[in-house]
Amino acid sequence: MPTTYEPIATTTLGSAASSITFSSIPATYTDLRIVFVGNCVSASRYLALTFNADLLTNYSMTYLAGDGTSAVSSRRTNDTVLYSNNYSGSSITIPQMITADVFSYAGATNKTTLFTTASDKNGSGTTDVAVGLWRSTSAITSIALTYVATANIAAGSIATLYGIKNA
Amino acid sequence: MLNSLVGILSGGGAGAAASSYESIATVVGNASASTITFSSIPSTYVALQVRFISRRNTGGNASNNALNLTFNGGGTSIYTTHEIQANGSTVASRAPNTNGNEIILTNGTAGSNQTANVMSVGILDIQDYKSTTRNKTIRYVAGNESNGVDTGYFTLSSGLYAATTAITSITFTNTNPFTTSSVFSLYGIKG
Repeated sequence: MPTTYEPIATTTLGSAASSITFSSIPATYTDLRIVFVGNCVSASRYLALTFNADLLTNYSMTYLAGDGTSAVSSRRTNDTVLYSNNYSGSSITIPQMITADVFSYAGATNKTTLFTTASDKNGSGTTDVAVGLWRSTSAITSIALTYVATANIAAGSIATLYGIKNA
Repeated sequence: MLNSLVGILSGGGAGAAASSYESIATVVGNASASTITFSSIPSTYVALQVRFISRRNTGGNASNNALNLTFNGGGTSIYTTHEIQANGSTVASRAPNTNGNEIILTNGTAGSNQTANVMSVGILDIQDYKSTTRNKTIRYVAGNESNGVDTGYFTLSSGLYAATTAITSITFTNTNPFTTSSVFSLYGIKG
């Protein structure tokens, strides 16, 4: 029986890679949490999630971003990946911290995720929050992290998948 | 109460190893009750967290429906809420209530006439819940997204429970019953 909050898997990139994938995710938890600390080999890219290798236009998100001057909100619909943020994006040198809470990932409703992104670039950058949707009632068994528009995740980036189990 | 669901400490949920983050209780909607309550909350933790997915079985706007949050069975004129909300085009900052009778959790539940199988999700954090000398502050984040069919929302709120009594119960009140797919889970965090 799993403990209430426990790490399922961690990936630390020894060299740049196109994606980080968590597969064979057990259905024994209630929610999943992903914590990512890292950056992209290119600037202004956005970390995105793909569930169960679904690359159809089944993803959307609404976000709120603050850039030190103003607060903005916008939305993406009918995407082929789930954006965690969509305003300022990555830095080549300064890591981002991105969290994703995936609720009821093994349940029978569509899958909703809450994101936070901390991406301060010492004079630029943003803090972002977002809500995302994967329009599928299937249980999530795999999650892939990539940067869009396509660019490698930088060496040294770390992603951890946690499972949270309710009573 | 006939129209409420109550989650009472089960004493289980955590694994064999000692943990600083423990599950306390879970309540699932039943399509007839419009209230979900966690009662007899032990004082053995430093903080509490509620994680939930929620939808109304009947009624409600397409999106951006609110839940009411109260502690210890209620209280009059001791709750205040502030929020920032984004809807995909605008950002708004509001004070939904001051010295009211509940904390207003905007965007806390999807409406019954919203896109099928779309839920609101949220996380509620309560620090220092057992203090008998300090008021209680909560932090709340919630979101609802439906691919532009209904307006998607993200809400970040702070709430005040101006009472120095320890929190022993938490109640979420919906205008209409919770669906059977609605799940509220209470966790305790040890210091």
